[in-house]
Amino acid sequence: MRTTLMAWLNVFRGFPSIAVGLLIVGLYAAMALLAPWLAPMDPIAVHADAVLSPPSARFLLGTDGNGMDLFSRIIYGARYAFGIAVPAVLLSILIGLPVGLWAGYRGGWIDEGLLRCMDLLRVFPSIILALTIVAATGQSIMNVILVIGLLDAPIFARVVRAEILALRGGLLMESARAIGNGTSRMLFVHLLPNSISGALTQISVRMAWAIRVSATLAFVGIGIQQPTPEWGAMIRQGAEFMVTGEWWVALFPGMALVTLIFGLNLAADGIQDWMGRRRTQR
Amino acid sequence: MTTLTSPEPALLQLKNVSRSFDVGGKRPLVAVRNVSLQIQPGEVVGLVGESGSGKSTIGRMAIALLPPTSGQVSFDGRDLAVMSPAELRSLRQRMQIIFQDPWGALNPRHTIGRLMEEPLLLHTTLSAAQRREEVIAIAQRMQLGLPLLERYPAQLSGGQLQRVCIGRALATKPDLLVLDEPTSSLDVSVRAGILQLLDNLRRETGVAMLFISHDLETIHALCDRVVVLYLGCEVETGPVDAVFKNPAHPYTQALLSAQLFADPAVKTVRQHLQGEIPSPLAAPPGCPFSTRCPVYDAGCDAGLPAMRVDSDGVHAARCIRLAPDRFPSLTETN
Amino acid sequence: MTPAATSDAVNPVLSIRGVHLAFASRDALGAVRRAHVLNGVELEVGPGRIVGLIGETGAGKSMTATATIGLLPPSAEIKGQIIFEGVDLLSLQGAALDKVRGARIGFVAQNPRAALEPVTRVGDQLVRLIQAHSSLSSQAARERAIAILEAVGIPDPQARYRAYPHELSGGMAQRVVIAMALVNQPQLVIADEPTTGLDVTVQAQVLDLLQQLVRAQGAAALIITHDLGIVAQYCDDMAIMFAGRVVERGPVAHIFAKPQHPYTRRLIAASRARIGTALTSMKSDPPDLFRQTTACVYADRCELVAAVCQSAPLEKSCSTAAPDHRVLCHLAQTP
Repeated sequence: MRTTLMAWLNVFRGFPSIAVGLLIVGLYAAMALLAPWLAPMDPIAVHADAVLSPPSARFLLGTDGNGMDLFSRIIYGARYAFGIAVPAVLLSILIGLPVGLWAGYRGGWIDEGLLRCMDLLRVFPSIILALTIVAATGQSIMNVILVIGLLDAPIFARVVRAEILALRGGLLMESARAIGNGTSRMLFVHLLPNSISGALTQISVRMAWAIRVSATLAFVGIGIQQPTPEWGAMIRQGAEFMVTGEWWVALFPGMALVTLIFGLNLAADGIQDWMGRRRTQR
Repeated sequence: MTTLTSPEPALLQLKNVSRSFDVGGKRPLVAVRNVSLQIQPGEVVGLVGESGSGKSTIGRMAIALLPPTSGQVSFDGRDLAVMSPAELRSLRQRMQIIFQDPWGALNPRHTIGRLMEEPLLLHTTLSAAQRREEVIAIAQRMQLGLPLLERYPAQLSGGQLQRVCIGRALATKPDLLVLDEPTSSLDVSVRAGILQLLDNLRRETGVAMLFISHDLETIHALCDRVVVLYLGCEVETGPVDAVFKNPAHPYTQALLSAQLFADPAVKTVRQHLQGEIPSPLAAPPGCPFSTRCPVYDAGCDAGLPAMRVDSDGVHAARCIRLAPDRFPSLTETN
Repeated sequence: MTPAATSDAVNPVLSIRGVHLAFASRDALGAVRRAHVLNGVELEVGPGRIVGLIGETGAGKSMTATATIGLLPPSAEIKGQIIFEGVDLLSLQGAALDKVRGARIGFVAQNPRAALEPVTRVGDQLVRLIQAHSSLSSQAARERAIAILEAVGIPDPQARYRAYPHELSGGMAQRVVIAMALVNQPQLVIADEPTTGLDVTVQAQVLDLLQQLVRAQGAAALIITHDLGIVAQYCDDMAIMFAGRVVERGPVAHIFAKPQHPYTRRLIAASRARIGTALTSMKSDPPDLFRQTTACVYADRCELVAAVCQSAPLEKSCSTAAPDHRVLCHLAQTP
């Protein structure tokens, strides 16, 4: 147990981006989990006497146009961020991994279908696509999760497919067959575990993406609405007040959003570097 | 093939086996052309050739990793082509292969112990504890320290990994072992150890081997018989001493003369061959060696020369220029 | 032209003295470690002599060549001297180094496909090399290029001049690389495993050619290889490397007749016999280059090892029977 701890500390020392990235993500995750204990006030409680008041001792980050405490809302907002990103990415993996595996190993119509799908997705800017679909199909959180999950699945599929194609006819497969493995063992014991490193690095990237999309949807007025303490919706409201000088209403949710996305991308970069180093050295 | 007058059925038999690959051009790439070969139980047969000789392809066909395009491959009298996938998989415990690149052949995510246990898991009904015991016994026979069983392939040296591959291959006590250039990617000082190990194993277990290599000295040391290949055809075959001391085919002679001995006092008279090995896509119509043969004449283009065998029926070669008194008869398969 | 009778009675063409080379890197867990690739290499190439530099994986022979030709990455930490024509190559940079490379020192790389530019015709690459180091006109350079293509045995050189590297077979491509190394009449040719990947029959052809051309030009050569057969058949002198040090060097005939270092003996025995040697029980892992020591690195696998080997630093090699036959071993006899 102690040696694994030491090993991890060494990884962090060599790849500080992983450390910093995971630290940020960890803090936000803690925020999401412990929101009821961390938030000083009820996020949707209206304080009619303190509408649009700037940051003070009472309201650490000020209040918004409805008199709700920004600090508490931002803390609770983490729940929505993770609550959408995590299920969405899980859905993507659940769909994308098997499809990629089949497409890479068997080829045929699944492979063709996947490639056409990817081509199609490349045509439309994905945010617009997400916006349109959610607007058309109903504006609930479940919908947002489904849409993001489905749009991201082909990316996981493609990444897994590429690695499988590279390994498929290679020595590892020949050797596994020569030893006497049947098809299912060859696939799941030998091929798949050696093809998922790409997918692992994508997880962090896609989570950042999912958070951005859901925030954008809320900002544009689709999906989550007031008084739900979601960062995108909060920025939407705050945008109006930028002009009149109440800068804190938009700024703090914005910073929260940017920092989390930054943390996720930083961790993703670091993990990619680390995996690359591991492959050539270990 | 050459009339090895043995009444028992051969362990491995390739009869008129050919293999071509579709490489997208107008003509397919013929890697192996009408090769016949057999291995008796306990025999060590060497397959010698340079690039394009088809030796690796033959090795893979022998072990049913690749089906022949024509001809028949049988193991213990049974035609591999008519077996069901389940029967074939079950047969694999009796025939195994060692590849040239041990790192590429082993799953980098499994420990050595798990890798060596895999054939036992697939083919026997031993319990986990029994398998573990067996793996430890094998590791000891391969002179691999027990701590290595917990490590991963990337942490072992080439020589150690090749021992792992050999141990793994022998776990189910196979009757036939195909070795595709097993020591070519290893350092010189490590090779001797591996070859000694293989020699010991064959004496202790009586396993038959098909040893594929381009290194004539290794083949001479380890094999009973040798088959010399050029561009997918057998050009000469016979007991290893006979072929190396009295090579009949011009290619075998050239190959032997190109050997560089690690002794400055021994200088071989180099036979200078013109040109290089033609691409299998552009194989000459008659004798494959005709483009470089020092004793070529027009008759060599007439077609693939027949295999002529000597009076003992063991040493044979494909060349129209063979001395008829030395190689009087044709063999039965062509 | 016959080579000089003794190798370093006259001024050597290349003199490598006390070269240490290390690379710092981060391992998979992020810790910094230093690989000591060369640990005090001492080597000389006499005028007109062909020297074989032999060693197994990790011995440092390719690194020695890379250091000589000045192709080390910036992260390399190098000390020592490599004297060629009176100048320390390690002190040269940029234009000064470019003048030496390709003209005074020719390099035959291991993989011809990697050495040749894939998008330029073979003839044009030769002409470019010729013109970079001389003031010949394009026409004259072209004629010289065709002449050297013919000299290396490429059939129909006029036509092959216009070929791209991928249109040539492995053996042909390697001949082109040899042509490029020799076209500017260098004093020294360095060949790094020049026959890797070539078929056995082609290998002999290429080596015969290299030896013949080098002798004809009166140049010296350093052939790096792991194959003792090549050294025995083609080289005048040899140097054996282990873990970044030259453990034995001297005339080929001498060393094969009376090898002094245990590692040399082991290599020769392993190259000759295939089975039946007593080598099997010896430790066969490559040496750990991350451990730096001034004592003998071969000690942990040497059959002659004594207490002095593990502790005392190995500084200068001792001379043995012949003055130019030197061994790096505490237990070698000094006459």
